[in-house]
Amino acid sequence: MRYTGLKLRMAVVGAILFAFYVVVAAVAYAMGVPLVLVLLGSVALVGVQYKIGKWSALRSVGAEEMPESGRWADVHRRVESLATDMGIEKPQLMVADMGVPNAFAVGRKGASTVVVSNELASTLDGDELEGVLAHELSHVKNRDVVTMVVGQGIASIVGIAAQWLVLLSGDNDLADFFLSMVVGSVVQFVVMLFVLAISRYREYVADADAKRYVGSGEPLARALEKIQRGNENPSAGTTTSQRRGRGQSGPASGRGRGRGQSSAGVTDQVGALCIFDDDERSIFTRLVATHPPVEKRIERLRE
Amino acid sequence: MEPRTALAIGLGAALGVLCLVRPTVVLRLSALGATTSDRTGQYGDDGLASSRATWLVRALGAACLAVAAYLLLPEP
Repeated sequence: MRYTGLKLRMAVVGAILFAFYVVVAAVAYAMGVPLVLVLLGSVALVGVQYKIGKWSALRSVGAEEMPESGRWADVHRRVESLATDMGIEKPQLMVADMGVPNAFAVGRKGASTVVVSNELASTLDGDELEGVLAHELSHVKNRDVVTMVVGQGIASIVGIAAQWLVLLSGDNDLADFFLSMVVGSVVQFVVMLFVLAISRYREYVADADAKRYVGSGEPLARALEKIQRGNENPSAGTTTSQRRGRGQSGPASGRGRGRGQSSAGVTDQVGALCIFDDDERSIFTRLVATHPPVEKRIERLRE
Repeated sequence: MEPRTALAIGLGAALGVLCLVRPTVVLRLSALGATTSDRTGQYGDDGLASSRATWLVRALGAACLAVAAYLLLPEP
Protein backbone atom coordinates (compact mmCIF):
# COMPACT_ATOMS: atom_id res chain seq x y z
CA MET A 1 0.00 0.00 0.00
CA ARG A 2 1.51 3.29 -1.11
CA TYR A 3 1.81 6.39 1.11
CA THR A 4 0.37 4.67 4.20
CA GLY A 5 1.47 7.45 6.55
CA LEU A 6 0.07 10.17 4.34
CA LYS A 7 -3.22 8.34 3.87
CA LEU A 8 -3.53 7.89 7.62
CA ARG A 9 -2.99 11.57 8.26
CA MET A 10 -5.36 12.48 5.44
CA ALA A 11 -7.96 10.20 7.02
CA VAL A 12 -7.54 11.92 10.40
CA VAL A 13 -7.86 15.43 8.96
CA GLY A 14 -10.72 14.30 6.70
CA ALA A 15 -12.49 12.79 9.72
CA ILE A 16 -12.10 16.09 11.62
CA LEU A 17 -13.61 17.97 8.66
CA PHE A 18 -16.46 15.46 8.44
CA ALA A 19 -17.01 15.81 12.20
CA PHE A 20 -17.40 19.58 11.78
CA TYR A 21 -20.02 18.92 9.13
CA VAL A 22 -21.84 16.29 11.20
CA VAL A 23 -22.07 18.69 14.15
CA VAL A 24 -23.62 21.35 11.90
CA ALA A 25 -26.03 18.84 10.35
CA ALA A 26 -27.01 17.58 13.83
CA VAL A 27 -27.62 21.12 15.11
CA ALA A 28 -29.68 21.98 12.01
CA TYR A 29 -31.68 18.76 12.44
CA ALA A 30 -32.24 19.52 16.13
CA MET A 31 -33.54 22.95 15.17
CA GLY A 32 -36.15 21.36 12.94
CA VAL A 33 -34.44 21.63 9.55
CA PRO A 34 -35.09 18.40 7.57
CA LEU A 35 -31.92 16.35 7.09
CA VAL A 36 -32.60 16.03 3.35
CA LEU A 37 -32.63 19.82 3.07
CA VAL A 38 -29.30 20.04 4.92
CA LEU A 39 -27.74 17.48 2.56
CA LEU A 40 -29.22 19.04 -0.59
CA GLY A 41 -28.12 22.50 0.52
CA SER A 42 -24.59 21.25 1.17
CA VAL A 43 -24.34 19.50 -2.21
CA ALA A 44 -25.74 22.58 -3.97
CA LEU A 45 -23.24 24.89 -2.25
CA VAL A 46 -20.28 22.64 -3.11
CA GLY A 47 -21.57 22.18 -6.68
CA VAL A 48 -21.95 25.91 -7.25
CA GLN A 49 -18.54 26.58 -5.71
CA TYR A 50 -16.98 23.93 -7.99
CA LYS A 51 -18.60 25.29 -11.17
CA ILE A 52 -17.85 28.92 -10.38
CA GLY A 53 -14.31 28.04 -9.27
CA LYS A 54 -13.45 26.27 -12.53
CA TRP A 55 -15.02 28.95 -14.71
CA SER A 56 -13.44 31.87 -12.87
CA ALA A 57 -9.99 30.22 -12.69
CA LEU A 58 -9.90 29.76 -16.47
CA ARG A 59 -11.39 33.18 -17.16
CA SER A 60 -9.10 35.03 -14.76
CA VAL A 61 -5.97 33.93 -16.63
CA GLY A 62 -7.50 34.25 -20.11
CA ALA A 63 -6.81 30.59 -20.92
CA GLU A 64 -7.14 29.52 -24.55
CA GLU A 65 -7.21 26.12 -26.22
CA MET A 66 -3.69 24.71 -26.65
CA PRO A 67 -2.97 24.08 -30.35
CA GLU A 68 -2.10 20.48 -31.21
CA SER A 69 0.57 21.52 -33.66
CA GLY A 70 3.88 23.35 -33.52
CA ARG A 71 5.63 23.72 -30.17
CA TRP A 72 2.62 22.30 -28.31
CA ALA A 73 2.47 18.99 -30.19
CA ASP A 74 5.06 17.45 -27.87
CA VAL A 75 3.11 18.61 -24.80
CA HIS A 76 -0.06 16.95 -26.13
CA ARG A 77 1.86 13.76 -26.83
CA ARG A 78 3.45 13.64 -23.37
CA VAL A 79 0.16 14.41 -21.59
CA GLU A 80 -1.64 11.72 -23.57
CA SER A 81 1.03 9.20 -22.63
CA LEU A 82 0.98 10.20 -18.95
CA ALA A 83 -2.83 10.14 -18.85
CA THR A 84 -2.86 6.63 -20.32
CA ASP A 85 -0.30 5.45 -17.76
CA MET A 86 -2.29 6.99 -14.92
CA GLY A 87 -5.53 5.48 -16.19
CA ILE A 88 -7.33 8.79 -16.61
CA GLU A 89 -8.82 10.58 -19.59
CA LYS A 90 -6.54 13.08 -21.27
CA PRO A 91 -7.46 16.48 -19.83
CA GLN A 92 -8.29 19.48 -21.95
CA LEU A 93 -5.08 21.45 -22.40
CA MET A 94 -5.09 25.22 -22.35
CA VAL A 95 -2.43 27.88 -22.56
CA ALA A 96 -2.34 31.37 -21.07
CA ASP A 97 -0.10 34.39 -20.65
CA MET A 98 0.22 34.59 -16.87
CA GLY A 99 3.32 36.78 -16.64
CA VAL A 100 5.12 34.07 -14.63
CA PRO A 101 5.95 30.40 -15.18
CA ASN A 102 2.91 28.54 -13.89
CA ALA A 103 0.60 25.60 -14.48
CA PHE A 104 -2.51 24.41 -12.70
CA ALA A 105 -5.29 21.87 -12.97
CA VAL A 106 -9.01 22.47 -12.51
CA GLY A 107 -12.05 20.23 -12.78
CA ARG A 108 -12.72 16.66 -11.88
CA LYS A 109 -11.46 13.34 -13.15
CA GLY A 110 -12.97 12.89 -16.63
CA ALA A 111 -13.67 16.60 -17.10
CA SER A 112 -10.44 18.26 -16.15
CA THR A 113 -8.42 21.06 -17.66
CA VAL A 114 -4.69 21.69 -17.28
CA VAL A 115 -3.49 25.21 -18.00
CA VAL A 116 0.14 25.89 -18.86
CA SER A 117 1.55 29.40 -19.05
CA ASN A 118 3.56 30.43 -22.10
CA GLU A 119 6.27 31.57 -19.69
CA LEU A 120 6.53 28.07 -18.20
CA ALA A 121 6.79 26.46 -21.62
CA SER A 122 9.57 28.88 -22.59
CA THR A 123 11.43 28.35 -19.33
CA LEU A 124 11.52 24.57 -19.07
CA ASP A 125 12.86 21.89 -21.36
CA GLY A 126 10.66 19.00 -22.49
CA ASP A 127 11.48 16.65 -19.60
CA GLU A 128 11.04 19.34 -16.96
CA LEU A 129 7.70 20.36 -18.43
CA GLU A 130 6.67 16.71 -18.41
CA GLY A 131 7.51 16.56 -14.69
CA VAL A 132 5.26 19.55 -14.05
CA LEU A 133 2.47 18.10 -16.19
CA ALA A 134 2.76 14.74 -14.40
CA HIS A 135 2.33 16.60 -11.09
CA GLU A 136 -0.80 18.36 -12.38
CA LEU A 137 -2.22 15.14 -13.82
CA SER A 138 -1.64 13.48 -10.44
CA HIS A 139 -3.84 16.17 -8.89
CA VAL A 140 -6.55 15.15 -11.36
CA LYS A 141 -6.01 11.43 -10.76
CA ASN A 142 -6.15 11.88 -6.99
CA ARG A 143 -9.25 14.13 -7.21
CA ASP A 144 -7.43 16.89 -5.37
CA VAL A 145 -9.39 19.73 -6.96
CA VAL A 146 -12.69 18.21 -5.88
CA THR A 147 -11.27 17.41 -2.42
CA MET A 148 -10.30 21.05 -1.95
CA VAL A 149 -13.69 22.29 -3.14
CA VAL A 150 -15.47 19.92 -0.74
CA GLY A 151 -13.18 21.09 2.08
CA GLN A 152 -13.87 24.73 1.28
CA GLY A 153 -17.58 23.89 1.05
CA ILE A 154 -17.53 22.33 4.53
CA ALA A 155 -15.70 25.39 5.88
CA SER A 156 -18.34 27.66 4.33
CA ILE A 157 -21.23 25.59 5.68
CA VAL A 158 -19.77 25.42 9.19
CA GLY A 159 -19.07 29.18 9.13
CA ILE A 160 -22.59 30.03 7.94
CA ALA A 161 -24.11 27.67 10.53
CA ALA A 162 -22.07 29.25 13.35
CA GLN A 163 -23.15 32.68 12.15
CA TRP A 164 -26.85 31.77 12.22
CA LEU A 165 -26.53 29.99 15.55
CA VAL A 166 -25.15 33.16 17.15
CA LEU A 167 -27.69 35.34 15.39
CA LEU A 168 -30.69 33.23 16.37
CA SER A 169 -29.60 32.89 19.98
CA GLY A 170 -29.24 36.66 20.49
CA ASP A 171 -31.43 39.73 20.79
CA ASN A 172 -31.00 40.88 17.19
CA ASP A 173 -29.26 44.09 18.16
CA LEU A 174 -26.12 45.49 16.51
CA ALA A 175 -23.76 43.68 18.91
CA ASP A 176 -25.39 40.31 18.14
CA PHE A 177 -25.34 40.91 14.41
CA PHE A 178 -21.67 41.90 14.55
CA LEU A 179 -20.82 38.97 16.80
CA SER A 180 -22.50 36.54 14.40
CA MET A 181 -20.49 37.85 11.46
CA VAL A 182 -17.21 37.69 13.38
CA VAL A 183 -17.85 34.23 14.88
CA GLY A 184 -18.89 32.91 11.45
CA SER A 185 -15.62 34.17 9.95
CA VAL A 186 -13.43 32.90 12.79
CA VAL A 187 -15.04 29.43 12.76
CA GLN A 188 -14.62 29.24 8.99
CA PHE A 189 -10.95 30.23 9.34
CA VAL A 190 -10.36 27.43 11.85
CA VAL A 191 -11.91 24.82 9.53
CA MET A 192 -9.87 26.19 6.62
CA LEU A 193 -6.66 25.52 8.54
CA PHE A 194 -7.47 21.80 8.22
CA VAL A 195 -8.34 22.19 4.54
CA LEU A 196 -4.99 23.89 3.89
CA ALA A 197 -3.21 21.07 5.74
CA ILE A 198 -4.87 18.66 3.29
CA SER A 199 -3.69 20.84 0.41
CA ARG A 200 -0.08 20.52 1.59
CA TYR A 201 -0.40 16.72 1.81
CA ARG A 202 -1.78 16.56 -1.68
CA GLU A 203 1.23 18.44 -3.07
CA TYR A 204 3.63 15.85 -1.65
CA VAL A 205 1.50 13.00 -2.98
CA ALA A 206 1.29 14.62 -6.43
CA ASP A 207 5.08 15.03 -6.42
CA ALA A 208 5.50 11.39 -5.48
CA ASP A 209 3.10 10.28 -8.20
CA ALA A 210 4.83 12.50 -10.77
CA LYS A 211 8.14 10.91 -9.77
CA ARG A 212 6.64 7.46 -10.14
CA TYR A 213 5.02 8.01 -13.54
CA VAL A 214 7.89 9.94 -15.09
CA GLY A 215 10.35 7.43 -13.72
CA SER A 216 12.43 10.01 -11.85
CA GLY A 217 11.86 13.00 -9.61
CA GLU A 218 14.76 14.85 -11.18
CA PRO A 219 12.87 16.64 -14.03
CA LEU A 220 10.28 18.11 -11.64
CA ALA A 221 13.00 18.96 -9.10
CA ARG A 222 14.96 20.77 -11.81
CA ALA A 223 11.82 22.58 -12.96
CA LEU A 224 11.06 23.78 -9.42
CA GLU A 225 14.64 24.85 -8.93
CA LYS A 226 14.77 26.68 -12.23
CA ILE A 227 11.53 28.53 -11.55
CA GLN A 228 12.65 29.47 -8.04
CA ARG A 229 15.95 30.81 -9.33
CA GLY A 230 14.32 32.99 -11.94
CA ASN A 231 15.28 30.42 -14.57
CA GLU A 232 18.18 32.30 -16.08
CA ASN A 233 20.69 29.46 -16.32
CA PRO A 234 19.20 26.02 -16.95
CA SER A 235 22.35 24.15 -15.92
CA ALA A 236 22.83 25.92 -12.61
CA GLY A 237 20.16 23.98 -10.74
CA THR A 238 22.29 21.17 -9.44
CA THR A 239 25.13 23.53 -8.67
CA THR A 240 22.87 25.66 -6.53
CA SER A 241 21.64 22.61 -4.68
CA GLN A 242 25.12 21.37 -4.04
CA ARG A 243 26.15 24.80 -2.78
CA ARG A 244 23.25 24.70 -0.34
CA GLY A 245 24.68 21.46 0.96
CA ARG A 246 21.41 19.59 1.13
CA GLY A 247 23.03 16.32 0.34
CA GLN A 248 21.09 15.84 -2.83
CA SER A 249 22.18 13.34 -5.35
CA GLY A 250 22.82 14.36 -8.91
CA PRO A 251 20.38 13.82 -11.70
CA ALA A 252 18.69 10.48 -11.35
CA SER A 253 19.88 7.83 -13.69
CA GLY A 254 16.58 7.02 -15.33
CA ARG A 255 14.92 10.03 -16.80
CA GLY A 256 12.98 7.82 -19.12
CA ARG A 257 9.71 6.33 -18.22
CA GLY A 258 10.10 3.57 -15.74
CA ARG A 259 6.44 3.45 -14.92
CA GLY A 260 5.75 2.13 -11.50
CA GLN A 261 9.33 1.08 -10.96
CA SER A 262 10.36 3.52 -8.29
CA SER A 263 8.76 3.86 -4.91
CA ALA A 264 7.60 7.36 -4.16
CA GLY A 265 9.22 7.38 -0.76
CA VAL A 266 7.14 10.01 0.99
CA THR A 267 5.23 7.64 3.24
CA ASP A 268 6.67 8.34 6.62
CA GLN A 269 8.61 11.44 5.86
CA VAL A 270 5.91 14.03 5.96
CA GLY A 271 5.52 15.78 9.30
CA ALA A 272 2.28 15.76 11.23
CA LEU A 273 -0.20 18.02 9.43
CA CYS A 274 2.74 19.15 7.26
CA ILE A 275 3.24 21.97 9.75
CA PHE A 276 6.22 20.73 11.72
CA ASP A 277 7.89 19.45 8.62
CA ASP A 278 11.39 20.91 8.89
CA ASP A 279 9.76 24.00 7.48
CA GLU A 280 11.77 27.12 8.20
CA ARG A 281 8.93 29.54 7.54
CA SER A 282 7.10 31.22 10.43
CA ILE A 283 4.35 29.18 12.08
CA PHE A 284 1.78 31.69 10.78
CA THR A 285 2.95 31.34 7.19
CA ARG A 286 3.20 27.57 7.53
CA LEU A 287 -0.34 27.22 8.83
CA VAL A 288 -1.91 29.05 5.89
CA ALA A 289 0.40 27.76 3.15
CA THR A 290 -1.22 25.79 0.35
CA HIS A 291 2.14 24.35 -0.74
CA PRO A 292 5.05 22.87 1.19
CA PRO A 293 8.37 24.74 0.88
CA VAL A 294 9.90 24.28 -2.57
CA GLU A 295 13.31 23.34 -1.12
CA LYS A 296 11.71 20.48 0.81
CA ARG A 297 9.87 19.26 -2.27
CA ILE A 298 13.06 19.31 -4.34
CA GLU A 299 14.89 17.39 -1.63
CA ARG A 300 12.19 14.69 -1.53
CA LEU A 301 11.99 14.44 -5.28
CA ARG A 302 15.71 13.69 -5.35
CA GLU A 303 15.71 11.20 -2.48
CA MET B 1 -21.51 45.51 29.55
CA GLU B 2 -23.17 42.29 28.43
CA PRO B 3 -20.87 39.30 27.87
CA ARG B 4 -21.98 38.96 24.23
CA THR B 5 -21.22 42.60 23.56
CA ALA B 6 -17.80 42.25 25.20
CA LEU B 7 -17.15 39.15 23.09
CA ALA B 8 -18.23 41.00 19.94
CA ILE B 9 -15.84 43.85 20.75
CA GLY B 10 -12.91 41.54 21.56
CA LEU B 11 -13.30 39.17 18.62
CA GLY B 12 -14.25 41.97 16.22
CA ALA B 13 -11.19 44.02 17.15
CA ALA B 14 -8.93 40.96 16.80
CA LEU B 15 -10.40 40.16 13.38
CA GLY B 16 -10.07 43.80 12.35
CA VAL B 17 -6.40 43.87 13.31
CA LEU B 18 -5.77 40.59 11.46
CA CYS B 19 -7.46 41.98 8.33
CA LEU B 20 -5.35 45.14 8.49
CA VAL B 21 -2.02 43.50 9.29
CA ARG B 22 -2.29 40.21 7.35
CA PRO B 23 -4.90 40.61 4.59
CA THR B 24 -3.36 37.80 2.55
CA VAL B 25 -3.78 35.38 5.45
CA VAL B 26 -7.47 36.33 5.72
CA LEU B 27 -7.92 35.78 1.98
CA ARG B 28 -6.18 32.40 2.19
CA LEU B 29 -8.50 31.36 5.02
CA SER B 30 -11.65 32.52 3.27
CA ALA B 31 -13.57 29.58 1.91
CA LEU B 32 -16.68 31.03 0.33
CA GLY B 33 -16.07 31.84 -3.32
CA ALA B 34 -12.47 30.64 -3.13
CA THR B 35 -10.99 29.19 -6.31
CA THR B 36 -7.76 27.32 -6.92
CA SER B 37 -4.90 29.37 -5.51
CA ASP B 38 -2.53 27.77 -8.01
CA ARG B 39 -3.65 30.08 -10.80
CA THR B 40 -1.79 33.04 -9.33
CA GLY B 41 1.89 33.43 -8.54
CA GLN B 42 4.56 31.24 -10.01
CA TYR B 43 4.56 27.45 -10.11
CA GLY B 44 5.28 25.77 -6.78
CA ASP B 45 4.50 28.83 -4.67
CA ASP B 46 1.38 29.76 -2.77
CA GLY B 47 -0.94 31.87 -4.87
CA LEU B 48 -0.74 35.65 -4.70
CA ALA B 49 -3.69 37.81 -3.76
CA SER B 50 -4.56 40.75 -5.97
CA SER B 51 -3.95 44.21 -4.52
CA ARG B 52 -7.63 45.03 -4.94
CA ALA B 53 -8.59 42.02 -2.82
CA THR B 54 -6.07 42.87 -0.10
CA TRP B 55 -7.29 46.48 0.07
CA LEU B 56 -10.88 45.23 0.29
CA VAL B 57 -9.91 43.02 3.25
CA ARG B 58 -8.12 45.96 4.89
CA ALA B 59 -11.25 48.07 4.43
CA LEU B 60 -13.31 45.32 6.07
CA GLY B 61 -10.76 45.23 8.89
CA ALA B 62 -11.12 48.98 9.40
CA ALA B 63 -14.91 48.55 9.41
CA CYS B 64 -14.60 45.79 12.05
CA LEU B 65 -12.49 48.09 14.25
CA ALA B 66 -14.95 50.93 13.75
CA VAL B 67 -17.93 48.79 14.80
CA ALA B 68 -15.98 47.41 17.79
CA ALA B 69 -15.11 50.98 18.83
CA TYR B 70 -18.77 52.05 18.44
CA LEU B 71 -19.92 49.17 20.64
CA LEU B 72 -17.35 50.21 23.22
CA LEU B 73 -18.95 53.65 23.56
CA PRO B 74 -21.12 54.00 26.68
CA GLU B 75 -24.84 53.85 25.94
CA PRO B 76 -26.63 57.18 26.38
